[in-house]
Amino acid sequence: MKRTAWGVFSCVAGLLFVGSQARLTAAITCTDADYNGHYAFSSVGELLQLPPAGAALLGTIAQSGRFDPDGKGNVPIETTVSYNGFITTGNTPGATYSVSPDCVITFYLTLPFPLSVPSQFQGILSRDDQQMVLMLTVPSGTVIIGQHIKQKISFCGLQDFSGAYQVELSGTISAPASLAGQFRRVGRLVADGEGNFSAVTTADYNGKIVPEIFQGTYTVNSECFVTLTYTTGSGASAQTFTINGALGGNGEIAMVLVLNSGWGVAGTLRAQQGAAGEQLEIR
Amino acid sequence: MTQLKQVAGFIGLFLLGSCWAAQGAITCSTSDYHGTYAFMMNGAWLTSPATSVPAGPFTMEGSFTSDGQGNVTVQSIVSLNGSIQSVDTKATYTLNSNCTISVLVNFPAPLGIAATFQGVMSADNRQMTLLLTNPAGTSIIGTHLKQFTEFCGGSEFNGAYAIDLGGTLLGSSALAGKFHRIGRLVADGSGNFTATTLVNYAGQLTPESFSGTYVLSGDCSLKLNYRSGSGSSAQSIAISGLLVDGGSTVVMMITTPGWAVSGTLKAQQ
Repeated sequence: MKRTAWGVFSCVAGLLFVGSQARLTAAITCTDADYNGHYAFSSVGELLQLPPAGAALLGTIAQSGRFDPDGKGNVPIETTVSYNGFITTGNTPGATYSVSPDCVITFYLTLPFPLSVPSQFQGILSRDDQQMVLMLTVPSGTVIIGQHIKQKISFCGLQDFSGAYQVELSGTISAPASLAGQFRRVGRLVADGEGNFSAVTTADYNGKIVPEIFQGTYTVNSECFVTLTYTTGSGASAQTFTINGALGGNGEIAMVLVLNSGWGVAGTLRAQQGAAGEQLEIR
Repeated sequence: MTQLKQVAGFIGLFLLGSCWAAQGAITCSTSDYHGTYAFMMNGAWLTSPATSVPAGPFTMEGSFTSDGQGNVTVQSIVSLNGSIQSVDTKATYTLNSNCTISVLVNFPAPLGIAATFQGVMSADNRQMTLLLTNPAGTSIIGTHLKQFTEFCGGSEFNGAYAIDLGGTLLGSSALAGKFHRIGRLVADGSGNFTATTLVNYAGQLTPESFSGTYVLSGDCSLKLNYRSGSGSSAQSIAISGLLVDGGSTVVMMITTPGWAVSGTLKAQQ
């Protein structure tokens, strides 16, 4: 009898424990302090509706940069933006945020010139606050989604971007007309840790597949932004490209944007080795 | 003592140098691509390669299971311009020493085409990106994630997840066009879920909350069902996905006709 009572008690205790574990996973609680540090990001989206004065900006919007939340509701944003191929910086020092207990973040800011309108974003944290997906919610007329990865390194140098990386870039090209349309690039880039890189890639120019091999140089600044420069073609057809973005994680991913006029293309460089057990999947 | 320090210094520099070299000079062999990878693919057929494949938005979700010897079994669901079909087939692959990969797939009907994908493995062979390179006339890219857990007991899908679903809603309704949903889904571990989301229908934002049911199968495939809207606009939505990384990520797509939408659920904790 004693054994039966003990058995029932054990079962109830066990069920309570299992139940509390299941609830625990759903009942996470976040505060403003949980969102702090540096988050590298990139995004590709579309501006579908704008006032007549902004008609030239309609089309693809791509960007990359870094959100720097202080854990107290303030989040300076460093970003470079491509509005339908028009490249500009869009730093926003006065953005603020609030985090709800279920780890949903609302951002409040005024979009930088040339849009210059009040705006809101909403984001959902995941992976113990290491990643975030974010959508622009105000003003309407846009479909803009960003992927954010927490930056765990600081005071970076050339050696923080070293080794072999998977290249994945997507977006659209508006000019020159001969390349206009949807664009994708996958490939492999090897950085030597001393400012030089080589890349073997396959590009998709609006359905036309082109193998492209190139090499160039790169810099990494102390804020962990990588800038790659390379030239394709020769003579009159030579074109120099610049790609820039922030490192995420411990340097195993870079969230980048092509800075050339006419390009609205962003994506990732993801280390082939050394992701330290993290899933860094990006859509 | 000084000589010893110099030798130690040289050894240190040698090790450092070989470390940098090793990062760039990784080597892959055919057997490094093995096991099951959940994948999603999205983009568009810009031109129609065959009468069976209309131009338009394209989404695909499923698994690539590699035997590590050059052969792959593909199980998938595809949305061809909003028409949903199951596509199971065989493929072959060549994995180069630098971990770039070519995959040849003979898609049976309804696609009825041979296709070549080229890509690169990353994250210690746990991830892969593939670009469809043949036939031409496409802009389609896929993300593959290794599924370390190949048997699910039912409790792996449990807790709070960040939702990220994007693509195109086809048709002539007022909601048709570019689509994206972000939000938070909570699964109770017993077949029920609730979701609080924000939806973007071609630039128009709408909050949508719903609840539904799900079934997690032993092979870690996941089916979610829910109803959204009300009255004459009510619609049953079905989602098919695959758990990876012990249930912390779900790769998925909407399998309701008229949708070409794929995405992920990522555990918040």
